[in-house]
Amino acid sequence: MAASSELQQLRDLLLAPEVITLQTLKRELAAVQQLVQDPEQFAKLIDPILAELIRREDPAVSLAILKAVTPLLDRAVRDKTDQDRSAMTHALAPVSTGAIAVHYAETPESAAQDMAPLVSAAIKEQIRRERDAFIDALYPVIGSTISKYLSETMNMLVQRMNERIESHLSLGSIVRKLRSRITGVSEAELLMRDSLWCRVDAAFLIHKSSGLVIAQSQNPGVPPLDPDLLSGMLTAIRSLFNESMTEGDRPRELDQIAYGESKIVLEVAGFFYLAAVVRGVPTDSFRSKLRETVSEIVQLPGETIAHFEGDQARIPDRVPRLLQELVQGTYGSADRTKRRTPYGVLWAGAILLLAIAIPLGIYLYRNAADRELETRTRDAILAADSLSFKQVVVRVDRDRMQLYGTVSNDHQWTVAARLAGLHSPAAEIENRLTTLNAPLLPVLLKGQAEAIGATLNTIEGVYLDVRLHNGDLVVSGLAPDAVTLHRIEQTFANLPGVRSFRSGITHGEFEIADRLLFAHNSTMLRPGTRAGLEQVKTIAQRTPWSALRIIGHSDLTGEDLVNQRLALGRATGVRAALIRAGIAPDRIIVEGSPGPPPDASMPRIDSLSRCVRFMLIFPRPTDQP
Amino acid sequence: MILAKVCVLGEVSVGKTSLIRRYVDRAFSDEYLSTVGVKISRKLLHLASSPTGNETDLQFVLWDLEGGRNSLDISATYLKGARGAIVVGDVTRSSTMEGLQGHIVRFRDVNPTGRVVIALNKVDLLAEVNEPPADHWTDSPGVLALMSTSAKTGSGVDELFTALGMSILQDTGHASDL
Repeated sequence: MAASSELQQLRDLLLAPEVITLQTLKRELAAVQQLVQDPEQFAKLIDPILAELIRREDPAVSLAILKAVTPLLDRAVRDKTDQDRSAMTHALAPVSTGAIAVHYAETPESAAQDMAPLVSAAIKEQIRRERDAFIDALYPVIGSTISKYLSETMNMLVQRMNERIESHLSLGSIVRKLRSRITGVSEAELLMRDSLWCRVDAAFLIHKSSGLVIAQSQNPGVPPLDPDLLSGMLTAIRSLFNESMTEGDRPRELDQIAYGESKIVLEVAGFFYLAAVVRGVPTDSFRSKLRETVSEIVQLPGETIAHFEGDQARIPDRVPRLLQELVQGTYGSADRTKRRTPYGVLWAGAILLLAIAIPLGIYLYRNAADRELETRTRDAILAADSLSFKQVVVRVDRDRMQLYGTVSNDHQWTVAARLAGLHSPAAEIENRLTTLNAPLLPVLLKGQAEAIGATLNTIEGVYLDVRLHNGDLVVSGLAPDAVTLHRIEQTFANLPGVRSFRSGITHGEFEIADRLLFAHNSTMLRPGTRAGLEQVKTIAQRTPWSALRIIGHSDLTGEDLVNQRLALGRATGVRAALIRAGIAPDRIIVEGSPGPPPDASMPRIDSLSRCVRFMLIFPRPTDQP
Repeated sequence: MILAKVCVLGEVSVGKTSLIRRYVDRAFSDEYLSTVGVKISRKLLHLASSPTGNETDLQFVLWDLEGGRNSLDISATYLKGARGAIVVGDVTRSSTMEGLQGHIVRFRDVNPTGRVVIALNKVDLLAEVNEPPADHWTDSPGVLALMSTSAKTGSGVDELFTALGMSILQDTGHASDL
């Protein structure tokens, strides 16, 4: 016990100053703790220090402060908002729109993503609140947007049709099909509509909610309609319809009411709708005009229409004028046609052009191909033997080939056809070549025949006159006897190259073709008969072996005795002339034969009857025993 | 000319159509658009509207709304845009009188600035005409007047419509005083 007491005393003695210090420290610590736990006291303490730190603008210190404060900022804002929402709203309001703008400028995509749900929600809310105002705001835009979309769609359709037009070649049906596709109306109805028109009997601009008539225009030519009753009824019907026919949460619009031959066509805007009483089938041009009218009314300044209170005098003058224009317009099929003319004409023109161009193209192509084949085939034939096939002509008509012209013989005929077949295997070959089995040209034939005639003429009793007439060989003259006559005929008929042979050869006697004609009641030779006489003299000289009978004739007029004397006198006169020309008198026999010469085929003409004719006779009668 | 849509409301067979017929004096078709539940008629009213003696024309477009078993079902769209309402009750049937308030409230819901006149119809059937408890009705907002009418005799009919017309004109700013 004593020991422990002493130890205590010793400890007190040794540690007393430290204990005192420790107790002092404890007190001071408690004071500091209290100071720190009281924010106000603490703030007072550190304020000057913070101010000094911030004043120094030391980056390290700023960063440290920022790090310390940042996690608290959102909480601070939230807490402050909870405490006093209004104050916070006012504090942020001046910068909020600017902040959105900056946000959009810096990161447009992110901003758009952030805003998108808000925008659609805002529009929905705005539509819920002020549906009519919203419709009016959008009406001009939506109308033209739809028009633009439609016109683009139509352009695409037209383009597609362009590509296919060649495979459908019926003008009327194509145009109708096209229109049918564009409009979605059956072809039959389009056909019917083409002959239709429509007339606007009246137009009423009606306040949507009250059903009161804001403005109206009626066609003076038709019985007037009571605007107030009609608009009221229409509004009631429209309201009932729109309420009963909602689709989801969107009301559906009644756009047309038909009765008898008339229709009431409705075009609805935000605060009003336009009702047009139409006779006939509403055409596209009419509907377009109706929409234009509504669009224009919607865009008129002022709110007298939106907040119509029954006073028509406050409505802008423009409104009734627009309605009047709508009523006075003409919306017939002619109008439709006029607007579509460029299309129609283009289509019709294109189809017509194709209808001409395609067959023409095919024809020209085939023609060119045919000519090319002709040239190729002919060249091939000529290459084989240019001389023999010089006169070969090749004609090609589609898949038929014809060979024209002449070849010398059957062999060449066959070869030409075979060569043609080799160069156009597909073609059907028609060989129209003619064969000249003797290589004789007409002039050659004539020469040959004349040469033969000349040779035969050297025989006594033979006189031959050889002529080539249109390719026909004609030989006439005198033969000494029937056997010789036959041989002579055979010789000429078998001459190579002779197409046809006519024989005028006789035996015994042969009448010379030339006759001498006399004037009426005269035996005098006329100057014009000199050539004939010369010819007779030549023949007589060439046939010294023959006798020449001169026969005088007369016409049938006058007395027989006189005619006898004339006939004989004419023959005697010619005899004298021939003798004077050197013909031996003993070769000449003279006869008078009153009346015309015995020509069965000749017409009996008096001027021709007054003549003298000549017969070569062999053997001579005087030679006969 | 001022146009004014006026709805005529009331229970079935309180005499709405007869009242209108009496007022309009057969100037309308008798055909009821029963499927839609409404009949439209109109009446032109000349009102001397100002101290200068200017006359103003007021065209009433009267919507006679079919009083069904539950006529409060009448579509709000029918009531829309109306400047005034004539709420009709049959003085001989208390049930129809009790329904008046419902019609007034319904009309004012759709048209908060709309004016209402109350017609206590068929007074000709009563042995003696008691003055209606006016204060009870005129407390309701928008109610201009309450009148005893008889479509049969014509009593009170013109006054009813004229009162409504004057009020509407005053609203529109065409009437300087009443």
